[in-house]
Amino acid sequence: MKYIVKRVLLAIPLIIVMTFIAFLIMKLAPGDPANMYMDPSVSAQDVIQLKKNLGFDKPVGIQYVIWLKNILKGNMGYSYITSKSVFASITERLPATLLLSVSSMLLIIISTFPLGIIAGAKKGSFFDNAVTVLSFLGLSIPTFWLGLMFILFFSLKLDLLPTAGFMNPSLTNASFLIKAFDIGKHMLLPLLTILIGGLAVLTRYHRSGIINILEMDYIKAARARGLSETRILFKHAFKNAALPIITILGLSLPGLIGGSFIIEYIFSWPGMGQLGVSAIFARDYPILMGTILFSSALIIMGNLLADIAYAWIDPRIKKS
Amino acid sequence: MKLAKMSWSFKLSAGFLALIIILAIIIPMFSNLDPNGFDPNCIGEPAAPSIRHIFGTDDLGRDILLRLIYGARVSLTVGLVSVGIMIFVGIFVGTIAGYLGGWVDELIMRFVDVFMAIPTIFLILTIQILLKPSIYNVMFVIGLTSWTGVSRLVRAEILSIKERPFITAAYARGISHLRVLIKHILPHALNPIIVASMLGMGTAILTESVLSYLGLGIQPPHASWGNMLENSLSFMIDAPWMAIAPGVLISLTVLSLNFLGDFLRSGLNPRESK
Repeated sequence: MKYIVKRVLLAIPLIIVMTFIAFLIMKLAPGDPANMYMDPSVSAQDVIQLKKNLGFDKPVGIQYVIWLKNILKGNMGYSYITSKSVFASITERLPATLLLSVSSMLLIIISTFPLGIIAGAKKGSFFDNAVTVLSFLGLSIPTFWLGLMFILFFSLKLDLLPTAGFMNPSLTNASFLIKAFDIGKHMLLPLLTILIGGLAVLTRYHRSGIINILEMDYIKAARARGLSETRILFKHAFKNAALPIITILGLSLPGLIGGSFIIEYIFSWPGMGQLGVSAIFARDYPILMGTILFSSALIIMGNLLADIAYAWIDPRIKKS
Repeated sequence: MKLAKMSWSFKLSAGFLALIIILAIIIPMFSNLDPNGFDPNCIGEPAAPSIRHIFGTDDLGRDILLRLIYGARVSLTVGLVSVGIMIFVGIFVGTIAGYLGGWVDELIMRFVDVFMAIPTIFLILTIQILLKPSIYNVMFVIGLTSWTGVSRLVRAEILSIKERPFITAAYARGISHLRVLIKHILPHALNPIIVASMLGMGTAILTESVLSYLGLGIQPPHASWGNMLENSLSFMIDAPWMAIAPGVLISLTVLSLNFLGDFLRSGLNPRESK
């Protein structure tokens, strides 16, 4: 319990610094937000009044405090382009992002264990070499390009899957199952793209973890006791090698989330990432800042969960 | 590390990288071919790969192979310079944190934590739109956002070494702190730094390609692997070769760097090589 509290307390300054960085980005943004709301015909006096309303006449420190208070109330400002509230724009896109990222995360975890175990246990075999080469490829191919190639091949050439989007708009009134199937069809390619990029790091770690553990004394002892190789692998080695994967997963969250944002953009997946990337092109700083804040908060929470899960599974952590 | 013991992946990677580097240096030096020059026979429409243009031409009739070679200069330079910045800042910050310890260390490491929790690509994109997109900004932004791993590595190495007897002995002999640091402590961290720079260079090349693909990196008409991809987007169906060649080249280059890094990791670490 003490460990968990300590972890949570450590996350708080993290979040505060994060908000400061987000605020700084807003402040450094070129062009005056007040000017973006209006056309040139508005009088100078009105501009000053508007700046006053927006709080731009106060010192930067005070502006930050006011801004932070608003954020805590869920008021993150308004989009320069659509004038919609940033909070609403992001939360309405959160489900699509969570659907994609959580399912890709689950797929990554499910597939990394068998790949890593078999590759590690049969070190030097054909399977191991294949996994090694494939995971290196996964690390090296630009994911956005891979996504484009998938679209080119599966959607444009073979016409098997939709090129982009979330759901066929003609299905709004269809039954839940048909809708789910259609969303799944749209999700397949982005999911595959994220999977290939994300699987590599974890599988490499898992494989070397298994290799290291198989050389430990307690495994030798288990062998000496005559336990079957499968039993040793799955009962003894697997559990210990699986532990560090949780930490690695937590550490690779920023990369995974940042990467899946670009993928969302490529596949026009209506999530937070697509919103953020489009905001970059539109120079829509409030939305951009909101996306950075939200995704960072997601990452910090993910890391926190990883830490807690780790301590829960491995009691040794709490003592150290 | 004898040549015979090196794996085929190492030889292939080293060979491939050497080929790219030599081509990128030599071709522009000894030929007057212009990467922005167009073939009057192919203008207006991308031409498919042929004997005249092995990788085809783009929509303006420019030879893709030639642009890839010129793009290699840009992409490799971006990789090298940004890794240089990454290592310099990483060593600097990691040394201060590990060497001074105490609250300085605590403060720096919390800062590193924050940095590591932000999706770097978003930070880079944001900074790129605040600045003007240029090759220098691309290199600086990538370098200044990727040093956290190196700084942790250097700090950990220093923490584990600074209390060892041979360091205490060095102080006892009256050697200055800076000299102990450079002569005795940093060399111990050298191997992981070399590995990190190989991997970092791959990441930098990937990041450059994303940036340029989104139009926030190297600006046309200069060729970079990333902006060739951006350019290919409107011709995906009719001229897929425009998108395939740069992507394959990026993948193979980064793959080689990763293989080299991995090989050096196991080769430089006696515990893993047995």
